[in-house]
Amino acid sequence: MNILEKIKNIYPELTDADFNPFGSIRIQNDSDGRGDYIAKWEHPTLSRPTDEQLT
Amino acid sequence: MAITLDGSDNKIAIGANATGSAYLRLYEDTDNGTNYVDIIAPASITSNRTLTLPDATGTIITTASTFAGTGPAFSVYPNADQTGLTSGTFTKVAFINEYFDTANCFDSTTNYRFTPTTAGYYQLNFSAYVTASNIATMEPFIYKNGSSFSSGQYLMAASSTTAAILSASNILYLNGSTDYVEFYVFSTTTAGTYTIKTGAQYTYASGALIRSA
Repeated sequence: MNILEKIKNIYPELTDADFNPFGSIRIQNDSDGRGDYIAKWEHPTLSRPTDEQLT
Repeated sequence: MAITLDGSDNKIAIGANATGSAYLRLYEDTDNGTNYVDIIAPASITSNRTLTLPDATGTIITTASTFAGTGPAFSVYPNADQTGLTSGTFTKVAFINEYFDTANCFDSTTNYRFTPTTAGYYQLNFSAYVTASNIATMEPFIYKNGSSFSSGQYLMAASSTTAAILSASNILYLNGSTDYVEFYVFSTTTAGTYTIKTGAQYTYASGALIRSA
């Protein structure tokens, strides 16, 4: 399960619109071998998941 | 007309007359002929002017000169497909191959970013070729200092779209020391991952200094 799917599992109310370029959450991969990560979390009501929740 | 040599006032003055303004005539090598270059004052001058020569060796250009800047320029492309990319993520394009990188300002080994050492305004171009079993959306981005700065076209694909090539371009000011740019793709699929395809004619980035700071 990738990080985006994990976030959607934690917050089922999130939709694809929350992750698109105009959304409040940005998942990014810098092609440095470290994989996907949360580059931006500006959701107005939901708090950023902890690393523990995402493992 | 009078020529005044005034050592105490550190200048040579060439006077004018009613026929024309003052000028300095410099002849070519006599082996080549008798042509010359005149450096001439305008016929009418609103107020006193000063032309200061540059503190550098070189040839002075004119409005008739063909001028090409000597600032940093680069053109890069990936050397392999970037596969298995998560739908809904922004992925940096790993530009590993360089057509040229005139000032060695493009990092094509670690961070895939352009950090010019000359301050000024840079024209930047980015094109990306993405494939997936079914692309839903795609958008290319030029990042400045780690944040998206400019996007290109935004594709909302019809069903069964398996490939898209989109581009972005803009003119960015870069400070010549810490500012850098990178190139990202955002894409979503209806199912599965997406791929940023190699192919130098489809996926590339380029840029050049077009105006000094």
